[in-house]
Amino acid sequence: MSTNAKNDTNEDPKNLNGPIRFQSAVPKERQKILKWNGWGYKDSEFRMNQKYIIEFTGDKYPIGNKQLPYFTQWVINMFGIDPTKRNVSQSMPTDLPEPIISSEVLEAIKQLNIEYSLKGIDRLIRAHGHTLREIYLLKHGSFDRIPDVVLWPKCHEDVVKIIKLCARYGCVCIPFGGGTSVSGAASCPKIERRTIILLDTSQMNRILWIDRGNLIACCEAGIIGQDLEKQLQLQGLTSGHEPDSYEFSSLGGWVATRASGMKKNRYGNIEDLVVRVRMVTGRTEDTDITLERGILVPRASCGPDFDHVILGSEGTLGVVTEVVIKIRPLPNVVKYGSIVFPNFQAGVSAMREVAKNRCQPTSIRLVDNEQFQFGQMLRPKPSWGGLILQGLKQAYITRIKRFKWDQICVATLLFEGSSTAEVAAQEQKIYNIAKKHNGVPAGETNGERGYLLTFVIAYIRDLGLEYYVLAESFETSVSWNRALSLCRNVKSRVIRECYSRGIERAAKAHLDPHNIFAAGNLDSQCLSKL
Amino acid sequence: MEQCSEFVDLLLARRKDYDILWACRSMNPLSPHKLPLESKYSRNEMIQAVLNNEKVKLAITSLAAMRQMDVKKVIKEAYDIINEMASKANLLTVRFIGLIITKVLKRIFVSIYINEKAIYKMKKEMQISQIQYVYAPSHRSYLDFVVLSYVLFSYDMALPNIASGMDFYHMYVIGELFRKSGSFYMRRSFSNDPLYKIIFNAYVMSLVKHSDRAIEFFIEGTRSRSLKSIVPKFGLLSTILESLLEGNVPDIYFIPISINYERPPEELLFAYELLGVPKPKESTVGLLQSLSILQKSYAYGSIVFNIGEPISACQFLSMEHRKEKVLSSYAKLPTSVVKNLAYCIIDSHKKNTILMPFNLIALLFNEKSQMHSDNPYTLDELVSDYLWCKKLLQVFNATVYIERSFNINNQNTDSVKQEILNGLKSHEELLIIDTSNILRLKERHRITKLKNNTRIKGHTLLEKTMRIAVPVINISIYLNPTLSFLIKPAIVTVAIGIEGNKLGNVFERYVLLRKLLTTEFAMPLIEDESVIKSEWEETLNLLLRQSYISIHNNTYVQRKDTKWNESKSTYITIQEILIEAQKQIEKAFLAQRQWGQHPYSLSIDLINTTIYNLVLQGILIPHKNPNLYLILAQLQNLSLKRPLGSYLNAVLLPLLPPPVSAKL
Repeated sequence: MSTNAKNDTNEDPKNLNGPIRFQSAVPKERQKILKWNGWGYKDSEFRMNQKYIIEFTGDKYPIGNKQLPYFTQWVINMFGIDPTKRNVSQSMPTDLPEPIISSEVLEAIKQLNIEYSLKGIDRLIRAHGHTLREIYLLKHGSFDRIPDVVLWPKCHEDVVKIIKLCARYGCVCIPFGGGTSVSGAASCPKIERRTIILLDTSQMNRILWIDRGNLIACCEAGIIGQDLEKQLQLQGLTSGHEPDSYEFSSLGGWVATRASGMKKNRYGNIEDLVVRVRMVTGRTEDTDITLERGILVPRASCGPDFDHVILGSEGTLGVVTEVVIKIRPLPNVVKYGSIVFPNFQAGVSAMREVAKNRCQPTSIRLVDNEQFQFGQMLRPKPSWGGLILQGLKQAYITRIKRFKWDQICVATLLFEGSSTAEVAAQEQKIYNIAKKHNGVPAGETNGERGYLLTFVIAYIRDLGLEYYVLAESFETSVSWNRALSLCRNVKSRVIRECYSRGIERAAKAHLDPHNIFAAGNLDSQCLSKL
Repeated sequence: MEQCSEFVDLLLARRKDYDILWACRSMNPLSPHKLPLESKYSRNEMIQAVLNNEKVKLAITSLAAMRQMDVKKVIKEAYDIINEMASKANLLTVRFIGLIITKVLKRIFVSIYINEKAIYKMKKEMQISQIQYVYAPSHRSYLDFVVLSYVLFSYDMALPNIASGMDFYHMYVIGELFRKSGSFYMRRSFSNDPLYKIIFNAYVMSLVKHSDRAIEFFIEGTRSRSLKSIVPKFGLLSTILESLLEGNVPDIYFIPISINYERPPEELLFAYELLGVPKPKESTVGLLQSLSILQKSYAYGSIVFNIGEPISACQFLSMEHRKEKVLSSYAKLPTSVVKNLAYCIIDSHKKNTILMPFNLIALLFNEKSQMHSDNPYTLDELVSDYLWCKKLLQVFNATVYIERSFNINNQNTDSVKQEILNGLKSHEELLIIDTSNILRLKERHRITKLKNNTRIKGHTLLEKTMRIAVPVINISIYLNPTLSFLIKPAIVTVAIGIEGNKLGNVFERYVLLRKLLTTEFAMPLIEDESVIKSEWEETLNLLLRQSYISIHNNTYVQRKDTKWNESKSTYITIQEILIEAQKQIEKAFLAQRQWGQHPYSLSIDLINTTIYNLVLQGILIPHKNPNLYLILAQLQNLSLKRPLGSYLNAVLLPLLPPPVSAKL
């Protein structure tokens, strides 16, 4: 593999086509570059500066090192926060519970010759996923139970050894990938008195082989999204799987949680991408505890497909160690786009028709008015030219098209294709449908901004918690005929529940039904002031 | 009693300034149901939505195929139906009607009291949530919906879509006026017209989903002639709930409203209707004639408008119901759910009933006439019994309304006397204190009234019977509101009897009576024994706490208290009503004509509900069912004490000329 980047080396210099081992973006000691008590990189965060203007720090994201005056104003107006009053997170706790582990088990672990740690911090940062409750506990509370020991296996065989040890000594094993779970699968049961071994897959992250002819690749389960994509792109390839957490979440995690990415219209969900899965089960009474299919073919007609049982099993059936996934050549043309609709209902019916005609572009998401406005707030202070342009666009939409600023909603689009002509044809189809539903194309920049901001949104909750504002996002899937009422009913319910609890400055629920499935898929975020 | 201070007189402000300015004031009526602009439908959009509804479309094609006619004809038929049904909303019309209504209300009523805080609370909630509202008032008079609309208009709230009967539709001019102020029309019975049924359901569901105005309907289906709650109707309610089940709206709040009249304008008609004389047909001419009620100002006393706590319909739908609906879109909501909600609303009506002083007087008067017909009330006796009765009712959580001018804490005889005299004022055509200071019933029946009674519903009663029955029923309906509070303790005491009975026995008797009386007193029929048991214990414990009853050696004993015995026999009167009704049925069976002692047993409603109840329990279907005899036998065993007196001997004051009542 001559195209390998400098710091990526073949493990075995004699085997030029052998597994690729590379420097991951996230090191083994995660806390070195990731926050221990919040989302993402340590150097990237929304922060209220001395002039009480919110800015985004770091240079990893497009709004990095920029002041956000509109957002600041919006936050103050919406939630009535006091910028001088912060609810600062506790510092890293030192009084963590002692590991429950017998010297016998510890000795056995040492014998395995696999890296391990009993340090409190290593155990704490792997004791949780990223639900609001878990993050709040990190910042202002404590966990009743955390793992007792962290192990870093490096390959499938290491995992087999660990699971066998667990079976022999009656220990509990929790597999852990990127730690971005929101299902609570990473948390330790309070009443568990057995030794909890946390199996961190992060060091099991090689790309074992790439088959360009059949367009498949075999990777170890611990590889995280951004590493996988970077390595593939170096070779002109892509997996096309891009969940919002893809910077940190792992391939094994995607399989275990039936993940879906925003480009699934073109590339498919994880269940469509997976060709073969290798999983170490807890069935130690069997001679071989690894569950895998003995063939590598596009599909098999005989017998049940156990891969589909593994998909979505959340680590309860075993540890996924290796996955063969489909890959694709990088598209030649990538183009963004956006459409403005007069109201949410028009947007939804346009989405419905796009789905009916099966002409979804790589990604299409509809953003409701609240989230559209919110997205507008996240723009940095514009230059003179930008201001005029912005004014003109707004005037066109509101004056000439007579859309109401507080009712419009926006669909953001991402097109991919092998040629400009192919993409243009896709665009034409979509814009024609949009026109029928009174949609107006609103340019590439708006669309691109939408996608660039995707990865920044997750950072907002940490800022909110600092100013007594709660934020949570939930995802669901719904059939078309119920999509509209679902959005309305969820918003209304959130507002009423807040009201009945005396939270007056409540709650703007944002809904953004994106990633149009054959049915619909909704992703909602809501914020409320405590 | 603290509640009283919350009530505000709406008419008071109206008497101070100009009605025309008030009716034309600039207003932005608050729409209860906050909807995004695009899903708020106009009348035409609503009609189109109904005609394009998948179920309606399917019904039209199948109907056309069945009748072998052109689809277009059926579509036209469907259009005519929906066009007849759908409401319009026109603020100008509302202002115009508002102006006239104010004039009328100011003329005939002394005051309209309302618990204003509930309105403000409701308005605040409407502004934050996006849920649909349904006003569910009690129905005691045609004025109910007029008064409700008047109240909403006064508080700058949008008038609801009012479910109205076709009777109004056929009224010249008025029908259309009502439509423009929000009414939509439904036929009385359409279960055997499938197209109408489907269109009606689709229309109601789209009102729930796409109207920013609330919906108003009378859960009792008709005016209660007897002034007590009647068994709720489920049809419209279940359609509204169906819409919620489909997830069309986040939630629906039902606002139960108790409208209490000191004297409903239809009181005399009610008395006649209860005796089987049919109601006059609604017509514009009839309406103009009825303007005669304007002749005498303040003749109908006060109205107390009591808005109850909102009932969230969501809490009646379990996850299972919702899941079933998602898994199969044809899944039907179990009737038990609709029933539970319906009785919850009725219960709230009962609990929020505000008793007027006259209700208590009627109760006492009836009691006296039954027990001591030879010793009628003097004012002083009435005052002392009235005070006692009020306290008793308060034990059972009843609110007796007294006007604000009276000091609540100062319950001395003079102020009570004044309260009673005031209460009697608007009823001087029925009950007065005559020159010899004795409380007397007046004759009300005019022979001329029955000139062309060709369509009498039941048995034609003798003039002699009518002469007594009309005023007695007239006064009896006024005691009925008190029964909302008294019925449960009454059943318990009757079950216990006077001599004292064993615990197990008594409960069995309670269950039997409770079952028989469910329809008459609009209580849900409870199948689950444990639920009945807890209801029984609740009431019993209340009685025990007040030491009206005590337990000796596992036997309930009633306290020998003269007052208590007296009230006890009131309960027996109620019980007696049941027996008399039973006799009526018995009479129907055995063809042995025999009059009941209490003329109230002549009430058609009573007989109907009783028959309905018996049918409901499957007792009445086979004619020779031994069950009936069994029940009658059981009832005979109840050791009931009959009242001694009888109205038959009651001395009625002559109708003409009206004697000048003393110092009123």
